[in-house]
Amino acid sequence: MPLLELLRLAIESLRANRMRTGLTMLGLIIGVAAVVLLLALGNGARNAITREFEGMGTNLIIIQPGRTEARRSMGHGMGATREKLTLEDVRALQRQAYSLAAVTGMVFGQVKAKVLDRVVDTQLLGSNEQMLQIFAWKLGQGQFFTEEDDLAGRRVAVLGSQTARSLFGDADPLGKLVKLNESEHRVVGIMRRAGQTFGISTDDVIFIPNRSAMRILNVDRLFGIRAKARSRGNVEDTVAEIKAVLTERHAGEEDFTVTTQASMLQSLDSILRMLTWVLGGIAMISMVVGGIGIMNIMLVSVTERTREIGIRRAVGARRRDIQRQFLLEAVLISLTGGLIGLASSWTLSLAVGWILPAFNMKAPGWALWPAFTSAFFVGAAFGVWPARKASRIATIDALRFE
Amino acid sequence: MALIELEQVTQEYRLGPTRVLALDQVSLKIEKGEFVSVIGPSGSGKSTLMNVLGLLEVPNSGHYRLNGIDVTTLDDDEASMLRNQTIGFVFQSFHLLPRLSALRNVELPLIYSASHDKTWTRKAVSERAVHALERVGLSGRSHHRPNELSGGERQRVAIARALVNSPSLLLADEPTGNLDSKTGAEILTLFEELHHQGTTLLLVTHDAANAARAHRTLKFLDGHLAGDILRAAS
Repeated sequence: MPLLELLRLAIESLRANRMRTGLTMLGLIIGVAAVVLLLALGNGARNAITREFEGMGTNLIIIQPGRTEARRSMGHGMGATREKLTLEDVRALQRQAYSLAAVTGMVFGQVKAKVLDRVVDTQLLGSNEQMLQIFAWKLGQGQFFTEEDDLAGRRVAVLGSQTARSLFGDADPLGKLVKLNESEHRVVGIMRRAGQTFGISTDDVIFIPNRSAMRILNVDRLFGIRAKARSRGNVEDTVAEIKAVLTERHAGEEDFTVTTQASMLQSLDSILRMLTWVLGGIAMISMVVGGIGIMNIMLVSVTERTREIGIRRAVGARRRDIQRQFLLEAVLISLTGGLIGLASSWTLSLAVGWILPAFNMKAPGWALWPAFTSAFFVGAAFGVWPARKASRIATIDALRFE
Repeated sequence: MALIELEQVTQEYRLGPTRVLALDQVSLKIEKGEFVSVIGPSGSGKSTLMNVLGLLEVPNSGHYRLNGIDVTTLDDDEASMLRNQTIGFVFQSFHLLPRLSALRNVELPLIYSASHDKTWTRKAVSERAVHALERVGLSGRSHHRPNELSGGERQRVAIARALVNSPSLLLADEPTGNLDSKTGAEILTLFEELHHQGTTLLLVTHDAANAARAHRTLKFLDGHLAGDILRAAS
């Protein structure tokens, strides 16, 4: 039978039952819309997170002691004493790694900060003067400590805005003394209030020079080294340079790990992408449910139209003509439902974008086609069985069916 | 060569443990152009005869030759094609598709002809359907749906559908059973006209008066062919 005639038959019977057709479609409309919207949601979240992360600078380089691969295969014991980064490593990088714009050692630790009778438990962060530049953090008042402060081991401190408030209340902390464990430090600056970015808050921290921090915390090694490449373009070359300098200092052994912001961004991005896929997968379930709805209705429809099938067979329709007609009806329902689903999800995501301009919830273009085609295939797959059933009905029984 | 030739045709049903012999070794011949009526009480096998003749059922045993072709050997697709090309049905309850216009109902057999007719065109389908409606005197009602037509008009649409593919055999199963006597008489007159135009007709009926309008009557009883009466041509 010509496709056009078949199409006409299918459309005729779908139009004859508008209500039922519409309700059946609804399942797939919701399925397709859910897929597109959830993918858009995942995508929007990914864009937002990535953008924030990028704000921290993509030329950040992180050096941690210990080689991740080696650690995995050989355990902790071997070379544990050598697996350390020191201020001498930082000094060597400053002198020899020309592609670095800034580099600092870092130590972390819990500390009791005391002003008069107020005691606050907070984080101590030891670094050199280049810390601010590397993380693009902003100073609020006063100044940050200098290279000279660090080299001379001067007891100065820069407070996070929240730490300053909890220690000094409304009083001006600049020039005042704060006791860190048993060591007294003079407050020279206060950080600008920044809020939290990825678990690192500069609000509840006390910054002091590296050497003082190592003394207070009683450690002989750095927590890690942070550096900033001069340009975004050749971060890989910079990494190679760092590795060369440090390996030479560590007797030829690469007992440290260099990570770049770019590679972290990449792995974060792949995690978020996976999240998007998971959301899409969940939405696919609703598509399958929509498909089952189609099958359900088509099965009812086959029973309801038994007599029609009998009449068609009596005037000469072959089994395959009946099968094709019912299959085409299922496909038409799912195609139309898919299109409406696309249109409505598109409009909805535009509306969300209009109401919340900050959240860039754009339906990703690549999601539209698979959402639509899977609607089609779901409809076709769940249409096969009812169509087969329709074609198997015996003609005389169908004609007698009331 | 006879149009229809049944040879020892037996059709048996199983209803639970009991067997019902619907057709018991029936042999008969019907020539082209005959107007034959079939009568008998219900359960006598006349409906089964019609189903077998209309290729809706394959008999358990025996042979059925239609235009010389042994149709008991055909597969489902071939039987569908033959049904489409050579047989027209008229049923007691019309069996029209309620959502389609009279014209679309009449077009139906022609639409399924497309699979085995190389000269098939959409335009020819409409033309032939219009012509068939003219033949049964319904040209003015072609765009009405069945529920907008009277019983007699519905049966005329069904007859037009049966005729549209110029079948060799028109099978009518109690075509006047759902009609009042006046309309029924009109339909029978239409059948007579078709007979005069050369159509081979088989009319299954309860009504002896209706049966008498055919020139030959087959009487069925308990699955047997119990009588075969020939009348002078009317």
